[in-house]
Amino acid sequence: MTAAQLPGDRSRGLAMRWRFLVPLLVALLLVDGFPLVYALVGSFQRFLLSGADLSRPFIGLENYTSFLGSDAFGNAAWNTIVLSVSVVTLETVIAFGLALLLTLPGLRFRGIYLLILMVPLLLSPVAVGLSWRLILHPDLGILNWVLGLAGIPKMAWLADANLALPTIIAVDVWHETAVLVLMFYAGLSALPREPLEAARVDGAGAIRSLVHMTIPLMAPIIVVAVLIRLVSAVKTYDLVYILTRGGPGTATETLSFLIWRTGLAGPLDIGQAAAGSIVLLIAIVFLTVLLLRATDRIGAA
Amino acid sequence: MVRSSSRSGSARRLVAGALSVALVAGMAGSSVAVAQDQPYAGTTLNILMEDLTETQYIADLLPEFEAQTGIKVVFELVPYSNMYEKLVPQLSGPEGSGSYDVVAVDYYWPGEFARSGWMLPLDEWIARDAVDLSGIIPASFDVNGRVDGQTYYIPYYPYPMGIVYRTDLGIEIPETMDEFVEYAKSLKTDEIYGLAMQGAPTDPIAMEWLNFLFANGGDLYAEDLKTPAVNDEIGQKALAQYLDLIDNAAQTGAAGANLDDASATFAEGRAAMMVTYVTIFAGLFQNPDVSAVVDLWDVAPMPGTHQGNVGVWSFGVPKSAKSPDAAWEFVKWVTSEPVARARALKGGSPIYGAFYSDPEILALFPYLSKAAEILGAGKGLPLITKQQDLVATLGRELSEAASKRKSPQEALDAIAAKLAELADE
Repeated sequence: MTAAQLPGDRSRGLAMRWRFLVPLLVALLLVDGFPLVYALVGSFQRFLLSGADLSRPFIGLENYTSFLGSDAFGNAAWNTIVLSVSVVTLETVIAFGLALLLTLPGLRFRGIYLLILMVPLLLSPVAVGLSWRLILHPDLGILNWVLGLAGIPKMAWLADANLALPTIIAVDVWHETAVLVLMFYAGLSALPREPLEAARVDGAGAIRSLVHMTIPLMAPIIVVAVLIRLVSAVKTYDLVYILTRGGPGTATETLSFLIWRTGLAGPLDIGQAAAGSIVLLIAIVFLTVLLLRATDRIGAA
Repeated sequence: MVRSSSRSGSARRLVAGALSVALVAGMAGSSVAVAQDQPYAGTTLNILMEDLTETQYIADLLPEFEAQTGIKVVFELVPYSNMYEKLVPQLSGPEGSGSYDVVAVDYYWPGEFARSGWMLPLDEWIARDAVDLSGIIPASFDVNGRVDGQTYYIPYYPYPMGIVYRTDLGIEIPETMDEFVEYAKSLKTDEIYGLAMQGAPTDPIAMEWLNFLFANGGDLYAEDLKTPAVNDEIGQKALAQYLDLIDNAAQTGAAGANLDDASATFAEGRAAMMVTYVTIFAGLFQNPDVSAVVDLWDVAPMPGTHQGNVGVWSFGVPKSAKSPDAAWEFVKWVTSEPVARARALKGGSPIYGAFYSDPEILALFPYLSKAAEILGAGKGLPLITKQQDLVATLGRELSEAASKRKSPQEALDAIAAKLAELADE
């Protein structure tokens, strides 16, 4: 690609990109536009679902200030960050390793390995949560029984404030890694063979060719996969709901869970829950912009 | 409160066999004879019900109601923890728009549901049909029946809380709460826990701890029902006792256990005692398929003041009901004395006072004679509007203390702050 071609290509690519987005934007406006505007309006109102006075006067930014100013928000935001960063890091490393193994030349039973890896992906988070609740049960669960054979004392996986979040992270890794394995496996399978073979002929070892060839070639896929996974991790709700209900105390409360309990499980304060949802949405939009920028930059490189 | 989902398999049989029809028809005397007058025949009522034994007892009797009225009843069964969040969006919708025609209401929802204008007052219907409710324990209407002078709900089963304990271990429940704590700790060995506890947020720990508060003579509010009292000396003592037991008498992971978990521990014979709902376990602990303690348990009141937490489930008709008149027919039927007695004979928790001294019922469920005292001595929650918010906060903050993320005093102060806020609403 020469320097003279570049600007024209880029602008044409940009126009095409927007044209491809039109059907999606129309669908989004219909399906998401209304609830979004409703939530936005509600976030500026005193909007209670129950009580003697159900009027909905506008109260400015009060919902935002009380949501963002609460201890519960600080706690939930921190938990969300810890959870998201942990699961994305662990899942990316594990998935990349597994995908490399799956693309080893001459690997036997590849189909069977893929099938086994896909099983968690096929299960709904609720089924995963309920199964793990049983596995992790302090008295009746199989995990403590197995550890007991090795003389390890019973652990209260979901009831100990120090263990609960790491346990949820572990279950999430078990459940979600398969998505990334699939993406990486597809990416690795599609890599051009020539540069890798040339590197081998030149005498590069496995590690060297991984670090200097495979990973740079895979970078666009890795970045996209990480950001897609990050955006969904930030919204984690179902596993928390099933495994711990945010507990013990509020040790595993994520932002999504906090929004849910503010709106539907206690004060029934839809206004504040809507404000929280808008805040979460802004965070996710920010991550998405990062995603688009990163893919642009990598595309340009 | 949840309570037990352990019967979920059989509980999905919503229409039981002819046996129960015959049973109730016999008891209800001529009630089947009015079959020709069926103004609501063909109507279907949808009702959200907690998946537990009491619901199953009602489901078993539904064919009789259907034969009598031509009204078909469909129960949607969910665990307790899902009920409130499923009900609220339906109830807060416009008139006639909801999915549920009858609502089963737990004892900390009546104020919120009625004062939000979601429920139909029942007094006119009660007067019109000359419904005799005099046999129902009067206090249950104060807890979950009348709100601001109007009747919105008819109670159908109470759940007094106290102690369930093993009768084969030589257990003698001590007199005071301090002694009880030491005793429960002393009972813990490598084989058996002193107390099976339910410390998970938010409902389980809140319900369990209220017994500790009441048994020590404490309460959430002072007598004016405005000033929080939960963080006074008695509240502090009650929480210290509770945390001591979680750490030193209960099963591993008690701080994350709900009623199902704790009940399973007791049913397996792995706990000496349990602070719990004393009248709901006939179907679980007496079931040899799942219980190692058949005929090896009895009930007792809390030590100290003997006051436990007493809840009541009631039925009401929401404004969002599609068929409110047929719904009222169901409420009338299910709370009537013959149907209530048929449930009690299956192992249900009786709402009619006379059943607690009914020889036929006591012969089957002897623990009910003690349950009557527990029921009489206990107390419910103050009838503020946002009771669910109160219980959610109570459970969350207690759980913060149980998991050592907050000091007991911080947790109690946070509860008191919420109580003060809710008293004004």
